[in-house]
Amino acid sequence: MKFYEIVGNILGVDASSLNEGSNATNVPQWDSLRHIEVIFAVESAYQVRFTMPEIAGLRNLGDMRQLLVSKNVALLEVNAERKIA
Amino acid sequence: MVFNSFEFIFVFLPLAYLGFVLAHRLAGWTGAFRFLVVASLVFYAQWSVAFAAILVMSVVTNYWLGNQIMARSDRPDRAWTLLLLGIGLNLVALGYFKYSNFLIDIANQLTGAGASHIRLLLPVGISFYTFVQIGYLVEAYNGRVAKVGLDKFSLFAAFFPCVTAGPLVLQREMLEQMQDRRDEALDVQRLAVGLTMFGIGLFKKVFLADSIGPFANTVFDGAAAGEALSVSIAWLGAIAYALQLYFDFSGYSDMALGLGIIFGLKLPLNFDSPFKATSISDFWRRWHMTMTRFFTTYIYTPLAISGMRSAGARNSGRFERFMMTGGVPALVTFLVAGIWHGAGWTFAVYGVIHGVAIAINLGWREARLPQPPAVVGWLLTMAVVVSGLVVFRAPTLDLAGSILACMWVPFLMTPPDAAALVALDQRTALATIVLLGAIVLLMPNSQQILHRHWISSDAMPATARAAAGLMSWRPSLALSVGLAATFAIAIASLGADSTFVYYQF
Repeated sequence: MKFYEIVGNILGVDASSLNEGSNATNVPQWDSLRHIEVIFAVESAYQVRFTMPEIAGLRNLGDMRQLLVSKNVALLEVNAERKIA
Repeated sequence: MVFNSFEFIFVFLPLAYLGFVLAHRLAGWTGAFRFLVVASLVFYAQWSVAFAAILVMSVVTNYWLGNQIMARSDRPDRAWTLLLLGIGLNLVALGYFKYSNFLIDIANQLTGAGASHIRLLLPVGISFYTFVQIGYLVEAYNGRVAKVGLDKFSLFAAFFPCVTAGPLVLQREMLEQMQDRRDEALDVQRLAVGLTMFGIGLFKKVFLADSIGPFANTVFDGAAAGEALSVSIAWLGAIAYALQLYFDFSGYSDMALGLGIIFGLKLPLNFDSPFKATSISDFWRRWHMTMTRFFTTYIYTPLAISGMRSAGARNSGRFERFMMTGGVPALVTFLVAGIWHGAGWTFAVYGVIHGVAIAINLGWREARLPQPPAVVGWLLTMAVVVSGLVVFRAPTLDLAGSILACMWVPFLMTPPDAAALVALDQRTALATIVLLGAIVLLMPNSQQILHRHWISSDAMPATARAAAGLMSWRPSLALSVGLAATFAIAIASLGADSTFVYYQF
């Protein structure tokens, strides 16, 4: 599954509505509980583990994608990044 | 020296502003910021020079600790040890002043010993500046703060508008505004916007909070003296207190944000119309917002993440998984937040009430149960908030229990006016509650009114403009007259010896 689909699945929103700027302040369904689940789902899907400082530094999905790339994860959508509109 | 005093408004504020502008003329923003550090110390020392010495020690120690942690960014184990040491030192200092006597009480109850209390005065704002600096140490460990000079660090940790009762600031949101400043210190528009915000806050505090406060006091003090409450008096007292606390603390916060604008450093929002919340989670996103942010970031999230990892490793069932990632972290977080307010069982129980309510709210959504209509959500939320604040306000759990029983338990309810010994002017109390209730439910809030000149370091929510409607602030003669009247009423109401509720925390 692609990155935005994984996140959209957890939040219960359409993956196409998400972009690099998406976070808890602009996605109403994104509450503190979902936040934890998003992290867990992404960690499990890509077989990585984020440290607490890494998690604390996440401001939006763009940050999370960068973090995955820095952990050598090949993102399926890497050539079709969704910039903030 | 509180914000709502003649000394502050007519002596400290004008002198501080003059000094700030002069320092900027002579030495640019660096000079202006250094002047503000001195002004902050002078402001704080008005309470007590000894308290100011404690503040200085705290700031210098945390500055040093932060630098030590940052210097060991390549040795996470050592940085971690230093972080734990730093948090420990802060908590020991806070605990000594705030919790010693509470711990002595607990020890006496457990052992039957009769140890007496230590005579201690609580340095004003210690809970706030201690937590701001604990947040800084964690962010230093996380690599999310910049190394700055002691002057800028001191201004972040002890800026006079927020050193006594928040908002709880983050280093990065303050530092961003201290770097590369090019604008003028003397900016008439900024002064006008800041004074407007300050004026709104002052009006909320001295005119609204202090008018409804006596009704709450009558009920709580009467109940404490053993007088009987009727069901209507208990409810009037409880709602009066909720409104008093809101206007008191949001009034304080508006004044703090207004002062921040005047002195060139915007602060984060602390209130966003909490009584319009339709769920308890929504309430905490709108009430004492910087405290919610602090506890969510530093307690809830780490607990929930470790809970999630352990639930994942054990392949837990759905309920257990929810409890470990949501329920238990929420309960622990609010228990700590409750105790942060004060040393006493009432604050612990206040925290537990909200922790349980949040856990139910999270669980409800997790189980995908149907969402109740907004009005039901609002009623449930207000029931929890008003009842919770009875526990928060009452001096003992017994008293809180008896007031709550009058409010909620049918067979303990005494009918209105029968047997009630508390002498409350119920009609005036009700009229005041209706008036203040209409203000909180129907009017835009301070930051919405001022949305054209956004007053906070937080981003402006998209809804602010629409919410302001006709009350959108723009300089005009009519508005100046209205504001001048607001100021005049507020100033005329000064003088009563009235401090902010949150100064005791």
